[in-house]
Amino acid sequence: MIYFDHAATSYPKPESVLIAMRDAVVREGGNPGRSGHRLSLLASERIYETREALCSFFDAEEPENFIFTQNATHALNLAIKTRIRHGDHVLISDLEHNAVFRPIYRLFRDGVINYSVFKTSNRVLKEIEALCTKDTRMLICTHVSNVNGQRLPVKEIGDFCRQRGIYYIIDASQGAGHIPFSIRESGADAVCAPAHKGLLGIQGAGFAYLRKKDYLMEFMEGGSGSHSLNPEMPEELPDRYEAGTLATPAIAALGAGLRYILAHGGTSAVEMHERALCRRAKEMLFSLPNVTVYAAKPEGGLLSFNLPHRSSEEVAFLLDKDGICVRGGFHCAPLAHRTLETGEYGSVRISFGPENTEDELESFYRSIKNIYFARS
Amino acid sequence: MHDYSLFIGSSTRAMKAKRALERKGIRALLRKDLPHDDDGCRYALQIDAKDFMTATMILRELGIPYRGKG
Repeated sequence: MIYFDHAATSYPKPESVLIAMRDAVVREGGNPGRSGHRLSLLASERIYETREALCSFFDAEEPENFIFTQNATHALNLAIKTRIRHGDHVLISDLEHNAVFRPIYRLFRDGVINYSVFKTSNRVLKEIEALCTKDTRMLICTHVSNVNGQRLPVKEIGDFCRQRGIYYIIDASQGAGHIPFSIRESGADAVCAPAHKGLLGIQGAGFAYLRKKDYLMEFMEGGSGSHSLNPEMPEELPDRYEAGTLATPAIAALGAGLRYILAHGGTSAVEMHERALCRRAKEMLFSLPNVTVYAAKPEGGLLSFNLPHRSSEEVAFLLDKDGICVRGGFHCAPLAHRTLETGEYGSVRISFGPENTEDELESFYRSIKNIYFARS
Repeated sequence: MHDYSLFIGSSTRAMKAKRALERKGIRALLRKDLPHDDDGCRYALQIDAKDFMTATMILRELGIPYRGKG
């Protein structure tokens, strides 16, 4: 089997990630931050260890500012809804995933906010500036598009937002673990990512990094393991936003994923590797007449394409029959597909991971040519 | 040995404090303490009395609220 769907979730996981997950269940199986016995304290230690690892990996300031969530969608909803105020104007990019677009659209539909969509095709900062109003309070953008791998200038956007006092949220779902990224340098007020994609962890965890510790609206209420006699959620981070039991196995696995990446050359090595594969994939696809390729310049770790005369789901189905895993359709990113004009069936996406090889790409090329020429 | 306790409300803060103290060479035992006052559950970091001044300075620098008891 050849797995080219790392943008959906990374696979397979490193052995060390599986071991960490298992150890969390077998050896550290208590509820972290709840009981006083050794299993609970071990679980608490494992959780905190991952907070510190995230802090170091992403060059952030405080481990406790990493709020563990179920996934990036949960993290983005938390980051957005705890800051938004009635009458705010929000900016989002034309590449956003539904994890950003749907909460914003819901707030707009409910009459809470207005929003504008800035173009990312050219001179992004000019586009943003043109859309800013006196009520612009929040800007949310993806670091890397999950459809064509385009990378946005997040540091420059951060500088712009800081100058204007705009709350800045980065969706790092596709960049985290794939490319070098410093939270400190980005200037973001919030950064959200899942554990299970480029960070090589398992499904069930993600995080929202919140830079500011000033008073924030609650998001969900429940047990926090602290200040239990207080009927309200604690004010301090991370407790304020970690109601309920944390997914210790998934968080332990995330820590192991971070260590694996660092032990294998870090994100720079991953970036270089995936970019080379993407470049080669682009060459292969362009060798076939009338194939449309949606890819960033310079290349990222993923791209999309369409073959003439076949829908994206049909191509994905036929590739799966050859043992090649890709994703067809709209990738939960209708804005991006509209921007890229992929058509009524979306596109086929191939997305790489650190263990993918050139040989796998050659097998993909053979399959795609068979599919292509079968209908030509 | 370990005859002074620093009480901290959240396990995350307690873990942060413990690691910070250990990095400065201060041995700290972490245990869950009895609920206290109107607030509820808390954690106790047990240290040697001789490390009290340094430990409390570290916690203040980190902005970790605590209560002490010898």
